[in-house]
Amino acid sequence: MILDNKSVSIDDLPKLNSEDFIPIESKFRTYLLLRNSLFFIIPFIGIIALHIFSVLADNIWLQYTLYSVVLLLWLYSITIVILGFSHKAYILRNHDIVYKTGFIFRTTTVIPKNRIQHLEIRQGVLLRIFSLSKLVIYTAGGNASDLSISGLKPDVAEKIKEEISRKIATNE
Amino acid sequence: MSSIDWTKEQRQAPLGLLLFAANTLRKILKAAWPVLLVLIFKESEKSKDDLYFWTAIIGAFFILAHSLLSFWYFRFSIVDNEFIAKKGYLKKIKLSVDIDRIQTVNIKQNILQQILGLVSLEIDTAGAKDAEIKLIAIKKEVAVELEKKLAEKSNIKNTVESSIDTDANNTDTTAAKSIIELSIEDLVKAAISENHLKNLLMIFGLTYGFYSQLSRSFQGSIEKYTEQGINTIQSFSIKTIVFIVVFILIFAMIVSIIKTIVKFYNLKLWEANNSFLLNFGLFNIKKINIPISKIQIIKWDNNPIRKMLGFKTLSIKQASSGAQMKKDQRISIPACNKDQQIAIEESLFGKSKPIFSEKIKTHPIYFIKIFILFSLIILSLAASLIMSEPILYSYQSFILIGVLELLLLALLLLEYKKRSFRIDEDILEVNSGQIGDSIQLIQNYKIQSIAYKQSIFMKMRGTATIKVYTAAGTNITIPYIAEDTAAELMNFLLYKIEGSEDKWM
Repeated sequence: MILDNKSVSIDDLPKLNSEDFIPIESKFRTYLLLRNSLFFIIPFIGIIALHIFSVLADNIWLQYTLYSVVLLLWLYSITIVILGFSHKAYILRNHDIVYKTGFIFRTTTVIPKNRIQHLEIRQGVLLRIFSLSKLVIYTAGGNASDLSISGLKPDVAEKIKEEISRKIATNE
Repeated sequence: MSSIDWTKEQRQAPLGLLLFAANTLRKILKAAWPVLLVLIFKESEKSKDDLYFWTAIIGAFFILAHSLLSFWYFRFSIVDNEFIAKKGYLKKIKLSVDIDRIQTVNIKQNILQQILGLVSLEIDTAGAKDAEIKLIAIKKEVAVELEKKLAEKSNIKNTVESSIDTDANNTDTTAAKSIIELSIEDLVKAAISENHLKNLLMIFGLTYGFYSQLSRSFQGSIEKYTEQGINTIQSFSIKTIVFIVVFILIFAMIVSIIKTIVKFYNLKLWEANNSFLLNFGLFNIKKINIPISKIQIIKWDNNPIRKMLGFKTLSIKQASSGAQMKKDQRISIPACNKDQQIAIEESLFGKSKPIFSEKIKTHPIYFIKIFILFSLIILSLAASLIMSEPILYSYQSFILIGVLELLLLALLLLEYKKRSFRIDEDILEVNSGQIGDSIQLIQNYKIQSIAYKQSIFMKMRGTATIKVYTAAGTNITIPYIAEDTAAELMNFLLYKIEGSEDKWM
């Protein structure tokens, strides 16, 4: 079979412009904020318990340090989500799928469709409450190169999956 | 050839029972040797001799029974397009492997197997679940026929006559092109130029592990000897210490010569039917068949001594789908000269003279970043050491820290200078190294995915890092290159991957 970009010269390839990218659903931001906050509730409860049972009563400074460390980490995670959310975006191109993420450390990952092994749609409990899905794309490049795009609408995730699966099937 | 009905369940060769028993015994010894050592060296009490005798008898009986049952319940067959192995008597396990998914079939022979005239056959597969089947005791002819059968069923068609002859000396090389043959001299050269410092550290590690295991079994008594030992060391003069260091280095060299010869004795690499065939080993003879299409990355390493002697070490990384790279998937050949290097690259890439672009170097900011990073680690470690042990607060410590920093500076400067990449229509070459040089080569179309990484600091300076993921389970990083170059490289590689119809494995 002939791939349609065989004759295309490299300059004709679509360039990655940020305006072409499709942003992640905005309610995914709320999801991330909630999830990260839930994550911090556990150590917080732990410290409060230590406080109440006055385990650290003789070391009041340690207690304050613990409170502030957890609080700062929580604030940091929230800031990163709020600032970085607008950078989360994906684009499905003719021959590959591109996903970018990160605020301080930004990564743009490209997976060519003809290198995708299989796809998976996942939906955890919390994601289900937000009626969002997560698309996981597996390649032979090992765990590090597997890509997961979270915060897609279930029907969008399904559509991308079908689209790519069709492409894989025709390639083989 | 006589044909075996593979659809019927087969057992391994009856003589293999001995191998099963030996394996079981080895496992027991490995787990229980400190206890046994204690039992042997403890003064024996007459009254307990009987007890030991009966324990030994019962132990032997269990080993025999276990081997017999394991042997009996291990069956393998080929049904439809699946290779099926059943094993276990208490916990029954059925492994089935789609023949199309088989990556490589390796035949090996250790010394016990050589005596018994048997071989082991390992089947490596690609799959999310790491399925690996190992038949440890089958007759050579059976192994050969099985290898053939698997090759003919799978669509790889890479196993060839010449790979089948287990006797390396009779290998029919008419259809094959010999690439490398290592003499004892080559092996000695390779061994001498090894990184002995690394080996020494490994020996220390092993000795320490051995020591801690011993001290657990013998309590008290060992500590006494160590204390004596430490006292003697403290009384040594500088001359003696120099002598000891030299002695240890020579010892390490001899150990690595022996190790290299035992492992790589009579190494031969030849090419036939689109596969590299590799044969080596003194006691454990290994035969490895590497289909060229499955090679993902090759890496050439040298160090100053090897450069002088004119050879490099080759590592070949094959496709592996398991999360963890299996040890066997990384094959290394200790010595290759320039001609052999060219021959291997020609077989692998299908062309003799790649036309590379200019070497593109890493941005100087990379050096500054790694230097700051490592300095911070060293300084914070030093600071915490000095704070906890006030005795260390002396000018000698600061001189030591200064020397360490200088060493670090020199090493990282080398690391920065040697970082570069260049690209050909079909091949990506990434260079790195500190004291030695290492060159990684991958065919562009075999890349699995690409990441373009840029922190906001890098964005301010207009640099980016490209990370290339491969099916060998490892990734190749090209750090801190100009933004435009990075984007161009990524687009070019994507173009090559997406336009390729070749099977990447």
